[in-house]
Amino acid sequence: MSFISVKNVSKTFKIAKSKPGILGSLSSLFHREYEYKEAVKNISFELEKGEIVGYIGPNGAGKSTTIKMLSGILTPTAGSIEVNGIIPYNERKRNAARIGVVFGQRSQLYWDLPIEDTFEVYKKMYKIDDNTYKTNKKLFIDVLQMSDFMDRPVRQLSLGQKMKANLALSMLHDPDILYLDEPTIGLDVMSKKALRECILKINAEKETTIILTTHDMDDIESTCKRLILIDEGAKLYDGGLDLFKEEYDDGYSVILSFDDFPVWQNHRGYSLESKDEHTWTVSVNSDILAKNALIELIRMYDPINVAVKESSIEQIVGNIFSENNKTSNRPQ
Amino acid sequence: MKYLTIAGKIFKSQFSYTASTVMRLLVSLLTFFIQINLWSALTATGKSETTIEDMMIFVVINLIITTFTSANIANELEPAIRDGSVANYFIRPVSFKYHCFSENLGKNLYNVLTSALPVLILGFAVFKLPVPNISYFLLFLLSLLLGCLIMLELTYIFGLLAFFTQKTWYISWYLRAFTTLFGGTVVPLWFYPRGLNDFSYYLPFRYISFEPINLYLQKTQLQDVWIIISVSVFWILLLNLIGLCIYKVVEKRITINGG
Repeated sequence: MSFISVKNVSKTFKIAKSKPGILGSLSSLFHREYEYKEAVKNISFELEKGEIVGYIGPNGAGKSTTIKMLSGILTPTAGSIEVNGIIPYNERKRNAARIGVVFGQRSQLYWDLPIEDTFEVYKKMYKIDDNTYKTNKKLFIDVLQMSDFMDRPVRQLSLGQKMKANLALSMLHDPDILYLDEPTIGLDVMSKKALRECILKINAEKETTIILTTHDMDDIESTCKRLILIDEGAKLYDGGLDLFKEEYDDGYSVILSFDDFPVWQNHRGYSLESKDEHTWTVSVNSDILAKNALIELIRMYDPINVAVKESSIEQIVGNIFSENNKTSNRPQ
Repeated sequence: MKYLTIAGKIFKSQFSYTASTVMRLLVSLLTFFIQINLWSALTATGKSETTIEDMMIFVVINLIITTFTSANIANELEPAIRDGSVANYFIRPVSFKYHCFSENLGKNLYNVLTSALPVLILGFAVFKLPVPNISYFLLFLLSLLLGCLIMLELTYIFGLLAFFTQKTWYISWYLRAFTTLFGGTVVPLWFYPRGLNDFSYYLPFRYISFEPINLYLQKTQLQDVWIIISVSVFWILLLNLIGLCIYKVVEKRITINGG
């Protein structure tokens, strides 16, 4: 039995259709039409204890909905979820005691009080014993560099400072599982780095299972070994990050700079991806060695300079999503 | 106790808004003086058995109860439901209802201490308001507590409705109107036409502040007290049950707005 198991889970929301214009709004007072939106469609996955998984997808793909079902806020329309032997939506409180959740867009801190006060509330709520509380508090203040702003009212803190505090708060009670929903949204480079390090440290020291949703692929590359990709509520990929690169990465790009453009000749394994004033970006199939590709391209076009660019996860993911959109928008 | 800690922190956080505290106190004082003047003019006609002291007690106790229920769950929940931050309530290992209750307790306790208590002290120090005998006083405290619980349960139910309607201000408005009309919080039920007064016995509102006031003024016969107490308890249990049923539906049907 896996630590977290999600089986054929779907979630449908009933939404009132809004019609355009004032007349449309008025008519909806008398007659409302509803539409059903399937935010999550038949998703299944299993997680072992101690895994860090990146859960990614474009806006509105159903990531947050999944997190909300896992944390027991929402009840799935179909399918079943089991987390550490608990069915979260049936035993919300029991489940909540063993998880930590960060919603990047909503702060859990008391707006008018210093962070310290929210910490104390959590200590009571999660029944954290004095020792654990002290050690954890000290640990997170150090790792997340929070000591300068612990005693300031939360309303005076910056977005990044609040986010750090929220992350610390979610880990104060040594949860078995952390659900992080866009924890690095709006953070500067240094804060992102501190957050990622903290996540890795917690995972290594306490064997915390972590599910991370994000739009920043650097978050994924620096923390996760496994990736689950969803789009329009359905799962597209589930597996290792290396395998993902291998499977979907269709090569690398070579950037050629010119004073005068030569004429592009189509040849197998190479394609002209884009061109601007002075450069061509040529994508090359992964089975051609970079060395050979460079020799070939220099011989053919004699550029003034060349550079090789490996495709990032971000690009690969972008490609997959645009591919997926093309196929799903096709008339049926 | 985790709920007391929550209430305590909310209480503490109220101190950041001193300007609004001062304004609230001024409003309480003004309300008190306006009502006292009005009632002294009306009772001076001598056509009613009700004395001005009775009316002062009526005004002061009503002020305490309205202040104690001024921050109500319905008003607090509505914005949280609309912007989705209500999700924060559900990821904590606490009961949703008692979490709401304790947040309210913190706010309202602060309001009572800063804006109703001064009026209370003023009433007793300057106007030498009468005090009931000890047994009536204890019964008064008990029914006051039950009255506050009825109000809490009511605002909780109205708050839960925001999960279905997204907006509750108009429902809250109805709640306030019903409390004023059938609870007799502005004009005491003594002055009501018979039919309306009789009807108010079938609703929970008169048990919120009117019956406690009657006890304080020793207008209720001691042998009838048990009826009032048991009806109040009945309402608390019934409202609690209704709240529970609505919550069960909310739990299954809840949608959280926003990402």
